Amino acid sequence: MIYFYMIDSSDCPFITQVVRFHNSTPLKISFGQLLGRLLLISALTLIACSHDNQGHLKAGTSDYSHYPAGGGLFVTAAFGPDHRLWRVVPEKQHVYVDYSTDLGKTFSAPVLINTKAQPIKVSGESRPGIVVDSSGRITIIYAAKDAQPVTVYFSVSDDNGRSFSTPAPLSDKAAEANSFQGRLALSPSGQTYVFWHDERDRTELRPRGNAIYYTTMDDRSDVNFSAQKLSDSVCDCCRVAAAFDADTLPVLFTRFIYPGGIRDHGLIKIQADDNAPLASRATFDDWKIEACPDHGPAIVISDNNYHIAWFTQGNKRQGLFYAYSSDRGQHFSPPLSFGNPDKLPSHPDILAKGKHIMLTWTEFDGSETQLLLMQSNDGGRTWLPAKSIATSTEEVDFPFLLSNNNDTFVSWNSKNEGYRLLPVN
Amino acid sequence: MHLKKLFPYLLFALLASLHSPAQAEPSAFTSGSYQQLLASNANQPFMLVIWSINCSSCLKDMELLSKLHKSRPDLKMIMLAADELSAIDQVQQILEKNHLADIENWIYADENTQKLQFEIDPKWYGELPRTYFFDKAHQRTGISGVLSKQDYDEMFAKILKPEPK
Repeated sequence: MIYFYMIDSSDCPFITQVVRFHNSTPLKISFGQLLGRLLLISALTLIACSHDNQGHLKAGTSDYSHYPAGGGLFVTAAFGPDHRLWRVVPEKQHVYVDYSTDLGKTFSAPVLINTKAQPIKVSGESRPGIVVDSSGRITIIYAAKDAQPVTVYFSVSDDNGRSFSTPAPLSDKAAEANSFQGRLALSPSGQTYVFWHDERDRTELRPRGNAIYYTTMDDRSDVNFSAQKLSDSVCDCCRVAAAFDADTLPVLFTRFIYPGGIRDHGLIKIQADDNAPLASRATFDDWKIEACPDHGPAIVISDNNYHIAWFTQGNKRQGLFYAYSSDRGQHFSPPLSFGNPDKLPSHPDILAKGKHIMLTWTEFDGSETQLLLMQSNDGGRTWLPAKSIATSTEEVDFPFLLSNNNDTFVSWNSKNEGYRLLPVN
Repeated sequence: MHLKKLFPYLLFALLASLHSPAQAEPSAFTSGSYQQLLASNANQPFMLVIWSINCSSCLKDMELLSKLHKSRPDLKMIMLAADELSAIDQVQQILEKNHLADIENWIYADENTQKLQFEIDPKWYGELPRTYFFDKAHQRTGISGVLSKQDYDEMFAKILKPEPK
């Protein structure tokens, strides 16, 4: 592979024209030679500034104009114990972390995570992640092209986000198999979990369904993860949702491929003491399809009740649905349809504070996207009418509900309107 | 001369030399392209297959599509890659590998893919693969998911049916 680094003098004043072949030493060559060589080899595989340019980055506002490449769409945010809003912002070749102390109006100077440029592979479903634990340790994940087409990387900061560790692949088999759809989750007991889809077990004989692996990240020394398998029959294009039960162990909610090619949802509960995880089916929509829905679900657990939201195009029902379970997922209430079926209701997220349950999602009418919010004050038994709380005229990311002390917000990124943190009243 | 100024010319020269003229690259699919596609195929039945390099189900479907293309020259097949324009080389590679590069191919060229999707079908959520079968009058049937040979044959029979006299 031949790398050709495009030079932008505004970002990288100290670099002259450089062409690098394989892993050999960079060569300084004349401009004519450069042109000739480029035409001769006829390959342009990567355009990037490989220079560490974070020294030039300044603080800015929610419009990403202070970002080297204008930011990215698939941004993940989380409040830390310091009540700052922390974000991981992926661009095409680089990933950054910043924070806001004024609820998303202004942001700190972005800190570059990957000094070496990589093709960043993020999407609405395969998102970057960020959590800040009670000690202030920041953990981030993102996916990029590496030896495999897609690999989940992680990086941590133990100095309040001033510096981050060199990103490393999360999977111990990253060189051999794709890893993607990473999901970070911080348990109430302070344990950081990370889940991801892993193709290490994929064979021609077992083409249907993918595997989820996970590991915990509590080791403060050099990380030596041992990945553990959770399931091997999940739909590979829908992200995993995670919540924590009263025992502080994770409960995952995701789209499975059930016998007969049915892509409905199920729960996976991680058990204490290395016992095998328990899996059970949670939705029965009968969506028989061999396709990539790219439409993952959401789960929250509050007062020992499970609350789930999901998308289906099943034979039994189509659209977005909500249900709750009072017996830890053994039985769920009849699915409640929400969203306007004529406006492609999509990508729900859910949050609960006691019996106060909140749902957010987007709807699109062909020209404008609306951000919807719907609330219940009785644990999901009855719901107030949905209301539109924001709009966008260009490309949008999925909305996410975030909690900070007693306050709740919807975190929503969009190309035209930038990043918005909208309070839930 | 600064490299930055020269860059567009370099890029053009590189791209021109990368691809042989026999295998045209997919056309850029932007707002309005769907109507253009319909207009340029007026009065003829055709099949539109929407797929992506990131859709494992779509890739499973390629071999059968390749066979259908070979065995049914009477049926016009159009493919649309729901991928970023920057992935055009990867799209082209997959098409060439499956002997599908010589048909009418398109690729999303607007970052607002939701809008493109809506122009094609306001009821479609974007799941892939998505296949539309158009009869001569452009009455269409849209189906999500991988189809079997039997499914295709049934739909072809439907859209290729001679008009009643």
